[in-house]
Amino acid sequence: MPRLLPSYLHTLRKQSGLSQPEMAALFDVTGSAMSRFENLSRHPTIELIIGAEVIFGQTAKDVFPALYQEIERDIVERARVLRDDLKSKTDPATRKKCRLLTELIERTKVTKPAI
Amino acid sequence: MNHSRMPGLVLAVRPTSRGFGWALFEGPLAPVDWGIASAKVNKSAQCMIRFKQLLDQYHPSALVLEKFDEEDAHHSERIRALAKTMRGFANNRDMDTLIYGRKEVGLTVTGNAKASRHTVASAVAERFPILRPRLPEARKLWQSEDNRQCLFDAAALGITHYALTRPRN
Repeated sequence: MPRLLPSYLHTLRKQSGLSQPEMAALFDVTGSAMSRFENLSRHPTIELIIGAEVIFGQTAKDVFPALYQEIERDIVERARVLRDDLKSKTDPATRKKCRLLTELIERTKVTKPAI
Repeated sequence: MNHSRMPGLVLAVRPTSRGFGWALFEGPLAPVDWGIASAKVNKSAQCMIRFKQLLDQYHPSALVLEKFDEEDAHHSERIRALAKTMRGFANNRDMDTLIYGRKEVGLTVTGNAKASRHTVASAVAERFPILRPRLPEARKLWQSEDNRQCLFDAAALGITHYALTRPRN
């Protein structure tokens, strides 16, 4: 199933039958904060991202696909720059780092989110 | 939610005398969001405000409506005009507009073109258990229609769209 919405927090809440105040209580935030998290007018906090996984059993990639993709894209860009910087060195430690960075870049190509 | 246009989101809308029911789909498996918009005064204008909000929030690529100009359709002029306005509004936003008749919906959802709206709603609730708690009881002849019926009508339109997917502009 393609992930077409930037956040599935609202969808998961509705599908689970939880009301907004009930979910706000689970996350220990106010109702208005919950509303802002749901409509993405406020960036999700680390507590919210981990809490969503605890409550719904879904990863950050599934609950916040747009945010995940944004962070992934930034990391890949920085990984490319770092790999280019390290290319001139040939010691074993650097080769290991380059392997990790290459794997990271290749892996994100394979698992690129649909949005 | 403020995000760029995302191909694939389908908004099914079913206007009624009291507002409209809507269901948003990203695929045939289940709606990702749904609701009922109600208005007591200035109904068409209030409905269009909520409709615009939905378009701004989700940027769907297609709008699905029920065919309102069928010979045997019993809809008021206001509802017909509202559906037409919604259609025009969606077209102005370069959205695909798809329109399905009640017979197509009944045939697709229940296998019976003459299925009652409650039978269709029950089949929708069967397919999407999350909507089951909102399924209204079958109305008696002397009762007015339950406002929740329009939500199931909209979801049935979404199901029909994914089953048929043929544009009619």
